[in-house]
Amino acid sequence: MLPNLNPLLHNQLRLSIVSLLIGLEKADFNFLLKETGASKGNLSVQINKLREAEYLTVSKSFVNNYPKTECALSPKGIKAFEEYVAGIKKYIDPNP
Amino acid sequence: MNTAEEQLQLIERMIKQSQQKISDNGQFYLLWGWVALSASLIHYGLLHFTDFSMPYLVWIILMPLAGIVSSIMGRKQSKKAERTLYSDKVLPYLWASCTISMLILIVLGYKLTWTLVYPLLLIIWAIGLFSSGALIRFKPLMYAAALNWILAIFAFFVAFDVQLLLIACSMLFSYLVPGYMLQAQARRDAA
Repeated sequence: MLPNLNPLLHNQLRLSIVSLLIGLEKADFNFLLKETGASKGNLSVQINKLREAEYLTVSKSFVNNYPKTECALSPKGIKAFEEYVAGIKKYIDPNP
Repeated sequence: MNTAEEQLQLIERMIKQSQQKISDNGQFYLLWGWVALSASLIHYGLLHFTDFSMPYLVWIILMPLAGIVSSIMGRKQSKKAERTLYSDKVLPYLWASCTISMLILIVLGYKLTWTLVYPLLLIIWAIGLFSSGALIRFKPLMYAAALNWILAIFAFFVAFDVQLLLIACSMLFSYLVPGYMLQAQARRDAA
């Protein structure tokens, strides 16, 4: 375990979600489900945690009578991700 | 959990996964390609084999129709999309700017001579194709743009009816061929 790293992002699934979203405008729940390989329940719990921290925004709509949940990173989430990456880089190479 | 290296590898893998597949299934290239190919050949046919006085009507009827179908398709596709890349947001604006430029040229074309309008249209198409190819990282569209620029240069030196055939040629190789390639790739990705 690496100390002093944002604990919210220092979780395999939450980090996966944020990493998938970082290069995208937005993605829907099923895409995140497929790409992370997580279970529905776990994924929705972790998305909620990120949403509560205001790292991502979640919008719900209906397409052909099926619910569609879309997630997008917020500026706060992007900043947290960048700081996290800078943090782990320091562990790999403490004297760049 | 895990070391810094593992975390970094996870990030890299996820970013790659999200970018991997091309989200364009070629449907717009196929729609516009088929419509404009038909229009240019019908125009050529009417010009050569009939006495019809307004052969250009075929464009005025078919193009707005394609525009309507295309915007409906666009709306459906964006609703269905599993993920939206930043380029997916830019592309409609790029093609809208090309379409507006072309409309101005077509409506005010009588101020120039008509033989200048079609080469300029080919040049505008090339801008759209080249930029789209770069945005979605699909080289065939960039080659298609290069072909359009070459056809445009030729078009400046030939008669109007031959220009129609050059447009047809552009539609076949610059829109339909990459369109079918994108469609095939989208099917492979979905499988």
